[in-house]
Amino acid sequence: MTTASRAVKNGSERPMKSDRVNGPQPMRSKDSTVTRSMLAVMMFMVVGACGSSGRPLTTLNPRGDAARIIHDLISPVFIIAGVVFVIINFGVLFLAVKFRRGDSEEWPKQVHGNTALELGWTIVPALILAGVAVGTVTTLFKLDDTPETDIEVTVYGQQWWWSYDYDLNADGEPDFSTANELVIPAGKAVSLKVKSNDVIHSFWIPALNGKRDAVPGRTHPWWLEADEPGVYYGQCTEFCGLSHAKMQMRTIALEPAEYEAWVANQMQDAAIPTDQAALRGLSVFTQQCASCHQIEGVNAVDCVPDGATNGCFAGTAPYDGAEVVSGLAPNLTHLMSRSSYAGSIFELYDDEPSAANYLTKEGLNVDRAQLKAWIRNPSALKPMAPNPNEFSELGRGMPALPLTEDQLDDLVTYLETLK
Amino acid sequence: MADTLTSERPDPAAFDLENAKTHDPHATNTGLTHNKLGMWLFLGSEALLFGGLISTFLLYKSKLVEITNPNDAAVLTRVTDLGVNIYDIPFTSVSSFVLLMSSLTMVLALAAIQRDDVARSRLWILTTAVLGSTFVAGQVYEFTVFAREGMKWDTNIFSSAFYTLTGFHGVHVTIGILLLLSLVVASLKGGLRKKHSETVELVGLYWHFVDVVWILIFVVVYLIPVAQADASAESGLARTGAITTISQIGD
Amino acid sequence: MAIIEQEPLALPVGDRPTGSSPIGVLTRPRTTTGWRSWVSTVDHKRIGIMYGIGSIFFFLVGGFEALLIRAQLATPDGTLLSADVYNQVYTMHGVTMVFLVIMPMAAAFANYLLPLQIGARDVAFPRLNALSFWIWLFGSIFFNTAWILGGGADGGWFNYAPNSGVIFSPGHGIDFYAVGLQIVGIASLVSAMNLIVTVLNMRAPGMGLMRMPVFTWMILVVQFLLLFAVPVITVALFLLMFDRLFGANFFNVSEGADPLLWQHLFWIFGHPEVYILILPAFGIVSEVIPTFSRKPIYGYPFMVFSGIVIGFMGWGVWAHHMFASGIGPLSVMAFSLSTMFIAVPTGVKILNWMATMWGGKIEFNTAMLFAVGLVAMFTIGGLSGVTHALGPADTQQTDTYYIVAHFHYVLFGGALLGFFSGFFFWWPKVFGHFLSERLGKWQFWASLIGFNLTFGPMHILGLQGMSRRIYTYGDDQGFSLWNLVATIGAFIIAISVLIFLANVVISYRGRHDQPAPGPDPWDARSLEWMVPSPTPEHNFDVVPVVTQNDEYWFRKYQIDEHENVTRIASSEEAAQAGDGTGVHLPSPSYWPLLVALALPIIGYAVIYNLWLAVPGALLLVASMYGWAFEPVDDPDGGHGAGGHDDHGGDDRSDSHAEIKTEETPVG
Repeated sequence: MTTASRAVKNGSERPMKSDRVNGPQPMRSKDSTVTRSMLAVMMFMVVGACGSSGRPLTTLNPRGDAARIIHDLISPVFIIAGVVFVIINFGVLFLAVKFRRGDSEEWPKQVHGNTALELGWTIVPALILAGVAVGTVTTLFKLDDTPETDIEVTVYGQQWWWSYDYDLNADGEPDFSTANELVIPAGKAVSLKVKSNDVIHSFWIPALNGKRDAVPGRTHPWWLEADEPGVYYGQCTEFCGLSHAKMQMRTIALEPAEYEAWVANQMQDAAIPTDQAALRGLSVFTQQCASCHQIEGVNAVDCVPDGATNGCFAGTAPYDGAEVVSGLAPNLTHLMSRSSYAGSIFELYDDEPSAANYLTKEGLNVDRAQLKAWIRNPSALKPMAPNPNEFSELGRGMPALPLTEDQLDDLVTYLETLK
Repeated sequence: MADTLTSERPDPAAFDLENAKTHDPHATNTGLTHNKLGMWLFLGSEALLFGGLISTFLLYKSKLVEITNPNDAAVLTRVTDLGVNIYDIPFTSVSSFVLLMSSLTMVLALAAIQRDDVARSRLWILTTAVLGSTFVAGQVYEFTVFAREGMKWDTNIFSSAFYTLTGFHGVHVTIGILLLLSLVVASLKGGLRKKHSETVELVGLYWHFVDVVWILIFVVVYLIPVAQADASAESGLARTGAITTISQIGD
Repeated sequence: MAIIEQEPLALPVGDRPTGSSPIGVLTRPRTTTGWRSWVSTVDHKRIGIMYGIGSIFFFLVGGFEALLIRAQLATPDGTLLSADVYNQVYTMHGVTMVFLVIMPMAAAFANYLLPLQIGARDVAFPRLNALSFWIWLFGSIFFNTAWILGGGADGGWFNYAPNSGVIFSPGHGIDFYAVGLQIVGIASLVSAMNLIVTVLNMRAPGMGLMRMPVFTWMILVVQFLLLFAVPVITVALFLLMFDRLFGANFFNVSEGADPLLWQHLFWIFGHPEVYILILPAFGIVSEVIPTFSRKPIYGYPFMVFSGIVIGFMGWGVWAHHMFASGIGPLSVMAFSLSTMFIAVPTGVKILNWMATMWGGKIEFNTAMLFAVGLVAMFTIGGLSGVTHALGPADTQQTDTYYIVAHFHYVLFGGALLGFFSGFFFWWPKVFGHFLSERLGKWQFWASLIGFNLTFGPMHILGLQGMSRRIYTYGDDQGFSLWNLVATIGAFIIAISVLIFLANVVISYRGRHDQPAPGPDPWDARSLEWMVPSPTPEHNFDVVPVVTQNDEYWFRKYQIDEHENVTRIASSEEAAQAGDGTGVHLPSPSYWPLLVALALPIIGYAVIYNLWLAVPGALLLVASMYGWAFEPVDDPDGGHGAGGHDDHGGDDRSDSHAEIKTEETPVG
């Protein structure tokens, strides 16, 4: 141990002359330890950051044109930033070691500055930034320019799920409405209009593009394109209340032919089932669920738009006994054609979703237990009121309905027919 | 001050002492008293306050006529072009003139106290306060008329912005009147003399600021018209027929 | 230099006390010891100490809230906090750290040091100074009473509308936010006016603006930022309050309101606010690094001008917080460019600090460690900031943990490390004894390691898609490892804070066992080191004449024609003895506290029952009049304060504060 540390160990608090004599020696070995450990940590982190398996929301693995445009802009900037980081931080370490006082009582040359140098290191960073700015501006306008496409989807955010109104014939009227999962054809751009029905949300599928806020009272244009078929995950990224964390969504890119088949299916009304249990379930639906949920061919006729609607369309004649006030909850017409629900936080099926069997759902079984658990008591699974007992006054989202287990069984059986 | 640098001076501490003996303790580096400088700074911050309120008003004034989406008809039925039809510009002009004149009397009050004419100064200060009160009374009357005609505080975004902006201004005028009356009371007790003219000047500065803000508000709120919806028949408002006139307003 | 205590409302009482008793006049309090002397103090040094104690207390509160957050997020699907409680905790953590910790901590340093650094005896308006402190304190307490009155604010520290409205946030939490921040804002505004007048008007003879220490300059810029930014958030908070409590429609979308109005108003305040948060720490390290490098600050004019430029440019970048909000590509472009270029003056500062160290003789005591820590850590935060400046890239980064990483690097790694540097540097001056160097170094390393462990991985988490403000995450998202690491880091930070607290106590207890620091333990440069430690109540015996930058240093050293430095006087010789007499000091007063007390009463009235506003307003008006009519305790008729001479016999009335020859206990 050096004299300095001995002096410290003696408990003398004031930096004593002996400190100045020997200098705080341990710094030297600590320096290289610090340096080495910083390097190790950085390597670990860089390597750790790059992998994207098991990281469905990563921004570092662009899978679509828009995300790639952003990635191409930011990657060199990350490198420049990394270089500056190394220069400054290692520079600081270098200065700390090289110019330590040691035992000296001397005063160094009292340099006040050097105007040329100062101007230099003002102008050079400005020039570097100017270069980055050029890239930024061109990228910005490239990104803002939605590619030509005939697929237009209005995306609605509401507490705490996303819905999509597809307008495929450019007549300004939605053709069908779906929820949680935005299905698009691979390789083709899709034009989005992002809106909100209540508070500010943000629509974000990181693999395909940056995020765009859904602001009530405003419509924000955005777009997505996925190179390959696949399942792309998303997260609401503007704090929107209790279940902000549980407001997720997916974008499913299908082969173009499969996408067309999917569209054709979505345009159809739900068939009235023939199975007895399913019919009982349909009856439960019309009594308990139809005031919020819509099923084309059951209760989606002449909806009255109000502030919180997700759009509604004229359909076929209503099934007897249906309510016609719905629109506040996801459209369930083709529920089983999706892979997730409740803000995409639960899987409908017992296996990982994939684009390959998305259309056919071949080999997949519905997770009835999870679906029943959700319907039985949604607030237990997703926070929707500060106190679940106060749901009626303060709650948003789905309330718990007074269903018996049999009714629940039948209801799920009916829902399973909504392919 | 010494031209020689500290290290070239034989005894800096003695120099400090010498300097302290001759140094005027009232001197300020800027030449302005603390109070005057402080008042200017305060008014600078107030400028930002009113800037924020005026910006809010301008946004919501323009929003009234921007809503052209037929699907937002629910909003449109509550949106009116109240801003233009409801004002009584002649009345407000007289009110503004009264406030402008009060700035004149304030200047006269300052001039009076600067020549130690206590009585005259007191008279002009009192007149300023009276004129200011007349202005405030005019505002209050105006607002009651608007409320009766259907534009209340919570009627729509325009009304909230209007009352907030003019209300903040009115509160500032009222505080100014209280300051003026305090000066009158001090004067009556014999405590306001020529050597206190800076106090009068500072109250005057505040008063003039409030007046200037009013000129800005008068122009922006009252004189510059809301774009008339019926002047552009192609606008969505007219098309949907969702404009309601004043007689239809009111819950 | 005059300490004339006349407020705009003040009515002078004439040359001598009048026979008739003005309304509500009490004689000025006379106690100099005990709690009453603190409660009635107008001494900038005591006010600074109180700000310091208050900010450290709330640092513990906010830190506890942070630990709750990290404990909840340590593992996926955490169950420690419900979503509702989590939302309150993270919101209160953010508001607390910004308004109740960093801003008052800067105020602590500014209040204590500014008059000393410019050679003054106090600030321009001592009672207003006390008022600022009490308003801040009562506002902070008021804001935190939300916890026991139904729950804290829960919409995030910037509470976007319409989620902040009464429909979506029906409890009172956000009401406390709106009203509480208005109260605290008044404190900042009053303080800003006070300090600007002080710096502009009360500098020592010969101290031109370009001879002031860099710390003073940074504080001056900050006060101008406060002066103009606080009114804007005041407007935003009024609009929010009017909507929530009085039925206005400013953020009522169904009436046609635009939620972006809130964002613009908030961020026009919010961006200058972040420069308000960092510039004081920049000023501190601009004093510490030259002292312990034994060199003057490199490029003094550039340091000053870069601070001023940051102050100006800071007004032109606000919408970089709104790149994803749908403001349109032209706006995004404009704000991208302005945000990129504001990195230039900041970079200049970093390079100047490094150039100061270059060629120096550096001593790495705790203050210097923290200061150099700021240089390194702030750079990281600044660089991530530059990456957000690119609008398109920010659409991936905003609202993720990458942003959380950025602002914690600049606020913790920047502002807080700077403040700790300042604590260790100026502790002997304020309290007359050192903080333990050994404990200080333990604290520094624990803090550096803990901080980097906590916030470093957040860069990764953000780029891998973890959203901000989520109370939990799934185990299938790939966030688990780094969240656990971050939580461990947070507890290491907590340990470092405990070490600091222990240091404060242990050093105080052991203060008689170490040699006294004397006026100038660090062989430093600026005027505060010219007076004894702890600072005497009257600051300077004689106001020094300033002929150059680093005036005090040049009284100890000279530079010959070969640029060698030779000593011409010791620290003690060049310093003042502290035994000056006959100095008139501003008298203490209770009225600032009483005026301040009225504000939370009115605050509760606005939220709960407007009738409560009656006693609140009565207290306010009565206290303001009491303040205005309070006698100026000076037989010279209120204008002789600040006399340097010994006035002789007629000073001895016992109603004015006479300077003591023995040290006034400060602890």
